[in-house]
Amino acid sequence: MEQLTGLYYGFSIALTWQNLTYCLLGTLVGTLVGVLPGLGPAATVALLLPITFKLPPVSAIIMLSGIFYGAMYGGSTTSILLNIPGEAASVVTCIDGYQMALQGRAGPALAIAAIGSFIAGTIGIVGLNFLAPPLAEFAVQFGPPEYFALTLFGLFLAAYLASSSMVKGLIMVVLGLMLDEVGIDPIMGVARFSYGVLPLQEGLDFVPLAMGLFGIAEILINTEKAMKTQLVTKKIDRIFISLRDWAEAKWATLRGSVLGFFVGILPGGGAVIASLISYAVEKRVSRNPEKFGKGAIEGVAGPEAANNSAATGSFIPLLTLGIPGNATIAMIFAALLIHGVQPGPYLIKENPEIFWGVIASMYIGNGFLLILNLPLVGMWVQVLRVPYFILAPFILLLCIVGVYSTRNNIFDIWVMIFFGVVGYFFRKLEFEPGPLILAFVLGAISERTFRQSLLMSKGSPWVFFARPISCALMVMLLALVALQVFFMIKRKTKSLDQFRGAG
Amino acid sequence: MNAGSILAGIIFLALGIFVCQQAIQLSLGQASRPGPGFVPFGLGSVLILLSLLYLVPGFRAFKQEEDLHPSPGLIRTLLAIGILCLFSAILSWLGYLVSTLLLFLLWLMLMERKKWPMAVGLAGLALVFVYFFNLLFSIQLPRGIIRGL
Repeated sequence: MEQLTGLYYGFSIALTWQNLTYCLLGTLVGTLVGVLPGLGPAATVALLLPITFKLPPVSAIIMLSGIFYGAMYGGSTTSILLNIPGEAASVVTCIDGYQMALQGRAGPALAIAAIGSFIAGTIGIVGLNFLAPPLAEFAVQFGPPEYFALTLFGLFLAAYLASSSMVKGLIMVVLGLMLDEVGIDPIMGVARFSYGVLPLQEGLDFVPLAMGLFGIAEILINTEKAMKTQLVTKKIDRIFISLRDWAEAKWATLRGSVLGFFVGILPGGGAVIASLISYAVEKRVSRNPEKFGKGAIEGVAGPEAANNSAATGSFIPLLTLGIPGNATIAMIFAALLIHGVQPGPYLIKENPEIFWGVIASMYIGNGFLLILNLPLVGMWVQVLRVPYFILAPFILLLCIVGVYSTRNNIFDIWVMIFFGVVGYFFRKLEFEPGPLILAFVLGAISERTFRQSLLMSKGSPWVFFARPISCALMVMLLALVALQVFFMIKRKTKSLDQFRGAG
Repeated sequence: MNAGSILAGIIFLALGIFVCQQAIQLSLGQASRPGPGFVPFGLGSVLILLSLLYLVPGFRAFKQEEDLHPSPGLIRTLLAIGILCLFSAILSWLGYLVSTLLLFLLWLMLMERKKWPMAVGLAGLALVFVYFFNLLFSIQLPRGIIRGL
């Protein structure tokens, strides 16, 4: 079977000392950023991107992937002990996790989060292992119209799922696509929106943009809140769960794993949404929904499983189609491009060492994470005692050094600070930066494939409906738009009726 | 919707109009042979439409905020932005080491109200951190007027 021989080959790469070290380093850094509030996986991957330039591509991607799925594990520790999500996908873990900690059950909460994450991570990797190769084979048929339809659909879904308001999400997508227009036109070779500024002619670089929107903006937001944390100091004596706890949590873990995996595959899906949906599902199927919010172990097990399998699932569109589905995966996409590797359906044939090496490293990384988050959880609790006023300037420093080292250009530091300030105002006004960064990364592909499609069809927009795959995607997109408009009108009429009724 | 959201909507609208105007200057081409301004024009037009969709219901639900005084948290953030702008302005002139030292001192003493021994200690630690970082990854940081450092 192709998948098993591929996996065997992958282990022969992932089990070298060098790659094992980078895998451990990635999972270690991932857990650390997951634990630390105010530094998410997206910013960290962007931050460490320049460091990976000198590494072989496979080691670089193994490490960066480790950061992503490692952060999903670490995020729960902060949620449970501090009632602050270490990263966005652990927001719902706060609800029941912190309550459990207050009741002196921090040990079982941390244990189910780690065990659930391990089970979900493994289920996710098995899914990735067996689903990705046939999907890549299918994606070989894709031409420019299919790619354009897919990127458009993905961006629309990202705007729809990642934001509180559809219009806000779409504004972010358009801004991201616009920022990508700066620089030389890929087909005509004309400089656009650069006004004679040399660094702008090369186009905006991805690293300062991402670090500004995620890293600097996050620091500014936390500065405003003057983050003071209340660590649950009750002694955590037993980081393990009883059979009774497991009996209560096992189905939530399994449901979360499967649900998270499929949400992760969706463009624009990802770990945050997966954990939110899982919490809602668990509350609905529970025989005692009133327990939720008061320390229900299912409320920790489900979302924690879901965010882990979603993180793994989101590698599928990246590795098979070359389309990243969320902001962190977009960073890994950029890393692959920087290393001269084109992610997409040919990756499995042209760079099998990366495809299989990264998948095999995930099995190993998941094992590392279980050790890091069960017996060694005390170490991370100590990390949480470092006050934020010390962490903030150091994170800032790391951002500055990281950005400068990409192109040795002070201009990039200015760009980062500018987007940091812009990102701060975006957050204040509840504009999610995720769809913007995704659109920025996908901008080049979508513009190129859009113009190629029009050239192919001599200007006819029907080219997107003439082939079955692109037609199906466009129809789904239009149906989604129609549904949104319908709901908007319905809401308007309802509020008008209420207004009239009140009058 | 508050005043900040309205202002953001107006900025998006202005940006959309600006991008459309610039795109026309770049040449739009035709659908069968799109020019360099074709896609930017489309994006600008969509942004104008979205800004209007965002602004029009917002104007109806406009709420004047009662408290117009900035919160202490906001003042801290504005201070942080000021320090960052200062840092980016002096970086190429004073060089990386001196600027980092200043950044740490200002951040800890002005924003966090920490006493100078702690601020100096942490700034020193930061310089050691940068030194090892450079050594490890051989990054050339801007040296500025103090070439020896």
